[in-house]
Amino acid sequence: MKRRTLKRAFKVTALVLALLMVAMIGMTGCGAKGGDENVKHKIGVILYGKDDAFGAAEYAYINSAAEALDVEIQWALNDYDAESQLASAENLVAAGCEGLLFLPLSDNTVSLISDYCLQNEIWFQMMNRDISDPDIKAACQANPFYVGTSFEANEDACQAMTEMMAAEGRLNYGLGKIAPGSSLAVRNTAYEEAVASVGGKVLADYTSPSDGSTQAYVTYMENFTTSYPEMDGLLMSSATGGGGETVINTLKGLTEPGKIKICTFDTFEGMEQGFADGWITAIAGGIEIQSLFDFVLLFNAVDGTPLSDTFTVLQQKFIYITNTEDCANYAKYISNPEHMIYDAETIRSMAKRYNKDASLQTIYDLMDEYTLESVVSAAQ
Amino acid sequence: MCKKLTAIGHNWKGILKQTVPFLGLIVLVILFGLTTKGRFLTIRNLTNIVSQAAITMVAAIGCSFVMAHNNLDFSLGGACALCAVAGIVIGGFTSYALMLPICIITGMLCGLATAVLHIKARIPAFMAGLCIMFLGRGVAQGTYQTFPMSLPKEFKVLQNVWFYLGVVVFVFVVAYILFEYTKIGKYNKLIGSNPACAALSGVKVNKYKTIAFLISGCTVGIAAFMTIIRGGGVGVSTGSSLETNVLLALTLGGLPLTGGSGTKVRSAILGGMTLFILNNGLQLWGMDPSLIYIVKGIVFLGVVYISIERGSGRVMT
Repeated sequence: MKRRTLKRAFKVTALVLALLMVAMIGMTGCGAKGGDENVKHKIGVILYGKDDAFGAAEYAYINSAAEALDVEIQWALNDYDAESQLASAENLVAAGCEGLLFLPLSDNTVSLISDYCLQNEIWFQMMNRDISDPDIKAACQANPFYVGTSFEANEDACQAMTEMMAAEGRLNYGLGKIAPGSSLAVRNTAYEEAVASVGGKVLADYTSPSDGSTQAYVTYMENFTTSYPEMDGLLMSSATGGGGETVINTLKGLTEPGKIKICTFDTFEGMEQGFADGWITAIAGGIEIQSLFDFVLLFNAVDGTPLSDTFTVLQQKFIYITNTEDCANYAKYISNPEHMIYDAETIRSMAKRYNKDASLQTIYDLMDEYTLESVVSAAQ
Repeated sequence: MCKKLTAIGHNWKGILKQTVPFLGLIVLVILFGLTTKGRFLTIRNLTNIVSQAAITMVAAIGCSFVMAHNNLDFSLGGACALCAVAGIVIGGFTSYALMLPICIITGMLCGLATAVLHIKARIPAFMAGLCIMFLGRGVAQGTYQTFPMSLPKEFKVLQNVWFYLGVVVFVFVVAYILFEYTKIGKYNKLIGSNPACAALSGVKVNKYKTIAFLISGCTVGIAAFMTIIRGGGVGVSTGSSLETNVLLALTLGGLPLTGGSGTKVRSAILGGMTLFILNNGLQLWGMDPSLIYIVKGIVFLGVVYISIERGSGRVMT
């Protein structure tokens, strides 16, 4: 008897709740889009995380831009595959975001989010990535809601760092490559072309371990110094995951200081000591700032005043660190989350809402001026 | 009198355990419906949630069979990656129409491998599953650098909620029949309740355990096909959090971690929806992403605290 009463109570409750939900659905329409000029926009940002130096810097720059432009920002972090990034895009749009800024983890992600934004008429901007797949690239570029993307000037950096090596008379290189398939693998061929252009020679190469293991670097350095005693330079495509520290620490035990010097992408712990001891010629870094320009481009589109009639591709210059003084300045003014490179006034100067004369050229000019010296002098 | 009160107490505890998953889901729907300025209960958002939860629900339905006999299948994510890679690569060389059957066959082979390792080599099932998971992930990462892994254009038509919903309903109905009305479900529950008793009753324990792993592999294969559709192809991280999501979904859906007669296939649906509604609702609230993890952890802990069987003294093998 009691069981039957309980079942009946359940059925009635379920029916009431179902009716309640239907009524609630009926009362809620699809969210209206903000068309008002002075409305506070909401932008969603999908980033892999904010726990490493790169992610933390981008997180800080984007937040500073949002604050300067009076934009509400909603973050989706810790997505590591296309499906999760799509789910975050769906949830952010459902949460009322009018534009999406994301760092795609693969070309598939670009395709999915591009399609989703087209269906829902949402502006979207990518950061830190070019699109490799020609079909996906063409489809994305044909999407009227695609604002643009940005990526770093890898070829220029490879050329510049190889020339710095050559200027020191170092022409016999080891080459640290990125695994094929990565969007950063462009650095492999760029280095090879740069070496050829300075009349140098690549004696041997290795591929950076994709599992984060640093032990592999020890083996590479042992093999290089044993098999190629004439090697005097190491051109590294990446020093993340402890690679930079491990290479220098291993070389210390194998050869005298400065016998082999390195040029690499990515700053790392202990680089200042590496310069002091004469192990490093140059390090390229400081590209996190491009996320700020991406955010501003997207804001202009969401605000109804896009800076271009078509999509925009930005190329971010690297900052070169060549001595211990540069290291100190980099730590103080570039990689310090407490210090913002651009103040609110400068950020607003790139937005039409605050500066009627703002244009793509305003952004290009700021990006062109971006060097360690300019950042330091602006801060001082 | 005292005995009567104790019986009523036990009865209410049982009712509470059974109703928590339903109530949890309903409470979440009402809570988010009332607090997200109407954004939660929109058709668009509800279809998003179903699309997001579908893959986990399908994999969880199959996994219920394994959990019914008191085991855990940790191979899900790696097996899913392996199935997806096999489906898209072999499909690319032959015909993409074969993607689904290839995914299912690969999934069942993974299930069979886990079962053989567990039953014949006497390796604990979760450990055997971990081996398959690492194997699958390694193959997926290695293959990713060699072959194109994008979804063929003709399959993009399947990227809609009706496809995902249709698959979930079909898999659920088939699994429900197998679970409730055939020896497969009944014997797996019996094995979960008391394996010695099941063996003494003449139940071929190893045979029915193997069938459970095969069913789990089959649903993983279907989930892998759905992952290819939903993810627009295969990437190095395909299926990366599937096993965690499935375990969370089944627990939130009220499935007893010790298996046995209390195991229900509906837990996969209830828990899958609860998990993704929670995720969606918290994002609609605009909650900080790191806080979302904390809230999900607390909710998960609460549900486990209420619904777990205590004092059985049994250890999952």
